Amino acid sequence: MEDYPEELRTPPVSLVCLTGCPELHHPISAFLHSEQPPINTLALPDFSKASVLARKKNRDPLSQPTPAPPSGILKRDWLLKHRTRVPAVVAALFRADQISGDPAQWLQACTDLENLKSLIHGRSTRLVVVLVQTQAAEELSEDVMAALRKRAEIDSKHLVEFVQNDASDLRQSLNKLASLFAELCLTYYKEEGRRIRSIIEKKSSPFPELNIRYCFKIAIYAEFRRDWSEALKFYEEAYRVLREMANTSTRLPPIQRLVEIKTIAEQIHFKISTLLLHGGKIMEAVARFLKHIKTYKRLVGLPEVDFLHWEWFSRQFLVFAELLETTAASAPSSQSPQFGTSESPFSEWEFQPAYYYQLAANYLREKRCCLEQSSVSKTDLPTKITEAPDSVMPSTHIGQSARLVEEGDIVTVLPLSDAEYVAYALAEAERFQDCYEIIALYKRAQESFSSHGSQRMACLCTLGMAREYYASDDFTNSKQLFDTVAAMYRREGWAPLLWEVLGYLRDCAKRLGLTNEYTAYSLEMAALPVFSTGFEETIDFGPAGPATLSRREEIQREALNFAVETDGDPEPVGLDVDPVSPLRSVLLVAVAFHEQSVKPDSVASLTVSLLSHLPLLFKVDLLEVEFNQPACNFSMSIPLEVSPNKWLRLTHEVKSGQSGKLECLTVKAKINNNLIICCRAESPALMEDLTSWKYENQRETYPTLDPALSLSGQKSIQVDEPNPLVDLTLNSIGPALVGEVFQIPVLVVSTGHVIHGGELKINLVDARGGGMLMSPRETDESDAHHVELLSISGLPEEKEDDLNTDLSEETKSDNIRKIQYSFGVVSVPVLKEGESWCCNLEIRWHRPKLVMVYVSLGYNPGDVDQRVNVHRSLQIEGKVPFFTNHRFMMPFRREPLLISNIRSLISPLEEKKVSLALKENNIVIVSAKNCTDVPLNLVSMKIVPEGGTNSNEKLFLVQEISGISNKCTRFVPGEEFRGVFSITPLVAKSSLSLGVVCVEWTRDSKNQDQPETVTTKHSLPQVCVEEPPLVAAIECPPFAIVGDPFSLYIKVKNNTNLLQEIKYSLGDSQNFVFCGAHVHTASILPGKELVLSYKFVPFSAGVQQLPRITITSVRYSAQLTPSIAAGTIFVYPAEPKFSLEKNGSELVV
Amino acid sequence: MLFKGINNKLRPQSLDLHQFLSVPFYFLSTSLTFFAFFPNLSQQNMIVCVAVVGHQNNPLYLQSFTGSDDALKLHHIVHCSLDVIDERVNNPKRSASTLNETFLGLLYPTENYKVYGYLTNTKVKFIMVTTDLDVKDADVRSFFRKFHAAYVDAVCNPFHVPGKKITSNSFSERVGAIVRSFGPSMTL
Repeated sequence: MEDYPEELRTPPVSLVCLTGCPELHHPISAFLHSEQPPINTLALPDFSKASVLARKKNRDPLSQPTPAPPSGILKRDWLLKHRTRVPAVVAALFRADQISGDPAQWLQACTDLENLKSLIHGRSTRLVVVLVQTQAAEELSEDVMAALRKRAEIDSKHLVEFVQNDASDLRQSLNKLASLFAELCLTYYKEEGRRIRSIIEKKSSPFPELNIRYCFKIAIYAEFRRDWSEALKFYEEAYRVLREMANTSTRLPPIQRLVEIKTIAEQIHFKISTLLLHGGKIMEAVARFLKHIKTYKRLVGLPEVDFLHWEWFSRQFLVFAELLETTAASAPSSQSPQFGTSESPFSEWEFQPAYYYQLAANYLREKRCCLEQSSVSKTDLPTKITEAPDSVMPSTHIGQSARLVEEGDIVTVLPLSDAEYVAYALAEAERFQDCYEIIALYKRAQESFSSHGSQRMACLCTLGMAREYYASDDFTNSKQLFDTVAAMYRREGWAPLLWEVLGYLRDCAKRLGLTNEYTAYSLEMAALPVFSTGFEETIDFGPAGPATLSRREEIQREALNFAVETDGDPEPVGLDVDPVSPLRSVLLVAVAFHEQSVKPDSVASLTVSLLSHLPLLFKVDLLEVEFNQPACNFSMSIPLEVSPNKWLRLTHEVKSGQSGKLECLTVKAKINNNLIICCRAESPALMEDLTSWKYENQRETYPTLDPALSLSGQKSIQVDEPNPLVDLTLNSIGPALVGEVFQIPVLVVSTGHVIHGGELKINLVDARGGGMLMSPRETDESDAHHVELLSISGLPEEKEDDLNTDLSEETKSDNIRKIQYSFGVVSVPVLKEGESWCCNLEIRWHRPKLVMVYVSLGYNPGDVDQRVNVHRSLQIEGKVPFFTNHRFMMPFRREPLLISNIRSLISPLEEKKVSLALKENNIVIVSAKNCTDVPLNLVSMKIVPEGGTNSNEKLFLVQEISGISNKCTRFVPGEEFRGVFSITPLVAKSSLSLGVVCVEWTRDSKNQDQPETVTTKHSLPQVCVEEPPLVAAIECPPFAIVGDPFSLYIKVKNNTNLLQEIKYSLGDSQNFVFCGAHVHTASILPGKELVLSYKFVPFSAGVQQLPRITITSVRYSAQLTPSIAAGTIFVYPAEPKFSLEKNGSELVV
Repeated sequence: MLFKGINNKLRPQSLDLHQFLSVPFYFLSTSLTFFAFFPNLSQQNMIVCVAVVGHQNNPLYLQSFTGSDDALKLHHIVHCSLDVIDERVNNPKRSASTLNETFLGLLYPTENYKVYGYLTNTKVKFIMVTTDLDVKDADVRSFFRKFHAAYVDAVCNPFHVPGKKITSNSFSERVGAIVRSFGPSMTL
């Protein structure tokens, strides 16, 4: 597309000529050019330059009485002329003072105008006179204007005043000018179009050339005024006439005639495509292009210049691809969701530039092919015209060439004969190297196809490139590209296509001197599944030769004997075959051990199986099998015959003295003493099919005789460890208790092996799975570990020093001791046979949990250089020692009124928090129950405030009322202990932390002198401390005697600053008589205490219920009824006797 | 015909041959792809190539009757048209009416050939290349239907291993007959 002239590639732009007042030309041109649509300007600085507008004498050929045949279809410079030299409008600019002032100046202006008029005479070019005023005051009189108009012979609206005193005036004048120019341009191009149209309609021309020319002109004029549909219509017409003319014209010699027609067709078609594509009609454009191709494809012309046709044809595709690419934004994926149906006959690729690039490349190859033939046959031509004429140049008509002949000073242009033209065209064509052009086209297509995900099409383009490089003897590039193509065909198993590519690759490798590659490609070809089916013989596969069995055999022989030919080179050719190599079909090695594991030093059988798809039988002179344990390597030097497509199975025995994995790594096959194929051993169970052979309809065979082994066989075997001769014992004494340091003794006794470099590994694992011994959220905190390995104690270090003085240095230096939360390593000293070693694992449980303790001992048993491992495990459950609980109470017969308790009754949904009365003794009872299976000793129980007892601010006082009497209280399992504490809060607080209850205990074990004391903590809840407004208390003697009166006081203290009203009542009771009010109301002054006094006389003995007492606070709507215990008194029938001991201590009955 | 190796795991040991043949859809659970090419040897014979292509886009059946010049080119054409099949099959922008459509339509036009595709329910692809540039969709559909039937019969053969190339001579003959009868008369 870049080869086309600029005027053809871009849409035409109207042209306006400015003359006079050169200082204004730049602003006017710039303004017009920025208009939409833009207008170009031809600026002539003064009127003397206007002669460029002069018209050459060029008469309409049809208007002559005897029309001469035209010498061409389109003139080369016609379009350019209309874009740069023939304006639609000529504007003469005069300054106002020039007109109105000096008469001489006026005369000059008149002369200039006359000149202009004469220049544009005979054309429909419009004349516009512009009067430039520098100041608005310079108004010209009507007379002057009229005179000027008359002189110029123009309408009044074609006389424009151009005012430029300020920016707004200037802008307004420019706008006015631009709209006038646009209108006049439109009129001009319309008239020109109409004029030519009338010529066609009036006289039917005997020369189709003229018709084409006129249609083309009309279309161009229509383009000038942006009438795209009319332009398209006339381009189509021109195209049609041209196509008809191709069969009838005799004006030029046939070859040049065809060249001219095709050149014109190309340009017209280019215009049509451009218009369609820019109009968004991509479907029409593609359809139009396909038609164009179809129309001209067979118009090859004479065979000696058919290369010209294919070059032209290729260019059609290239130009269309470029056009598509530049307008690619409007790809029609949304227009037609499904391609290839009858509604939408196009397929996806026809909208992709890549498709056309690829075809352009194909046709350029065709051109080169034809050119080569033409060059060869050139010698057949008469010698006198095989010499190309010296000075051939394009003639004045598009698509024609002419010869320049200089005779002295006279230069004449002579037409060419066809023979001369052919010679010229051949000479021109041979100057270019098409292959780079072809490669570039394929490259563009390949990149575009790849980006659209069309890998196979991209692959085909790569193949095209590779062939071109091959043809131009660039084997390095060629081989690289062929390799990528081959990878694609290999993957999808397209054997015939792969065959062709491998043929090229083999040849490239040969020419580049790459022996290894040459052999590899040859063998791969020989092992390809291609068979004669009748047609392969005649298909041209390039250097590969026919894809037949005999050819494969031939290639195999060549490859295997290739090395022999280069006998001077002592290095044999080495090929590596890994599990992804294409050479697996040449030699595939499967190795299967018959067993999964074997004892050390015992024999393991394995089967080595070889499979080759080479067409001929070959002999393996030497087979070397290598293992990861070099001691097991073996080789077979008996010649082995590998038959085509048949497993060769060899069974062998190996013995390994080293425990661990024994794996077969490689199998090397030496063929003909000059080729070594080194195959990676594969397990039959994991072996993948050969990509090229897996679809072949062949009998399925197994690498081993036993089909089951083929499905499960592995190329590696596990060699077991020698049996350990060591006792490792792990003991435990019952369950562990949370909090204590629990000890697990470990005993190592050698019973046969000398332990060298022993290492004891300890691992704690959650027995219920998960493996986590810490809570997942709190992994960062150190105390977040539920179970922790603290240390390893009881190491008999001093003994070790005594007994193994010679080895102590060594053991000290590599004394590993590493403890983590759930993992520990400790080294074990050298132990001779019969010796023992022990240690204790110290583990602490923070939470109750079931834990598996794994202990493994790894050591070297003396002389053998391998490790032996012994494993033991023990499941231990960590239990909570105590079930601790607590309870809050009030003192006996004393009740403070707590407002929050009343509230919680009203709205029970609120979070319930225990309320304590300020400055009252609140009782808390802590109970601890031994829930283990062992007896425990309780050492102490106390309440420790948060932040310790030394806190500066005492928020509450704690007093132990009853607790542990002895130093140690023994608890049997299931027994419960209670401690009673009194708490007196000193500060009213909505949330008060009472701290924790610390229970100190020890295991009750007799064999330990100083049992370790463990503290178990139980935290008390947050409580609310509030000041009770009223405190009620009942005072009553501890017992009564029948008939003996006693006093009962009800005391109510008012702690508020308000007067409190109290209602109280006593019920009747048949066991008592009493004096005092049954029901009454009383008021208590602030801070005072109300004492209600009653006198009771009991009637009957025993435990008696006092009359029911009710106290109601009116202000708080709270009622107090003492509990049954508080309202009970024991009545003796008579006064009790107390017997006194001699030492004076009192016994209470 | 040779005994092709049948995987022992697949062969129902207890069935005799008659019983075995009575369950012809035994092999239909696996799928293959066919391509076939037929030559333009006469005016009636417009199909130059038919092919069956399997799951891995590997050719399973490939018979070439055309002149030797074009045989390799037709291989390339069939191979490249798999790109279009991939694109059409993977393109989710298909209307509901075409969801179960097996006929894929014109895959891509070269100047001398037209390439049509067909996708069976088991995702086996058939590709047909014709030199008749004015061929009707209905004819092509009809051809593919017959071809599909021939293919189903071929893979129902108990000696055929699913996923392997089709080497049956009777299949080739039947395909040849279908190709020869291709043309406007097929739809009559």
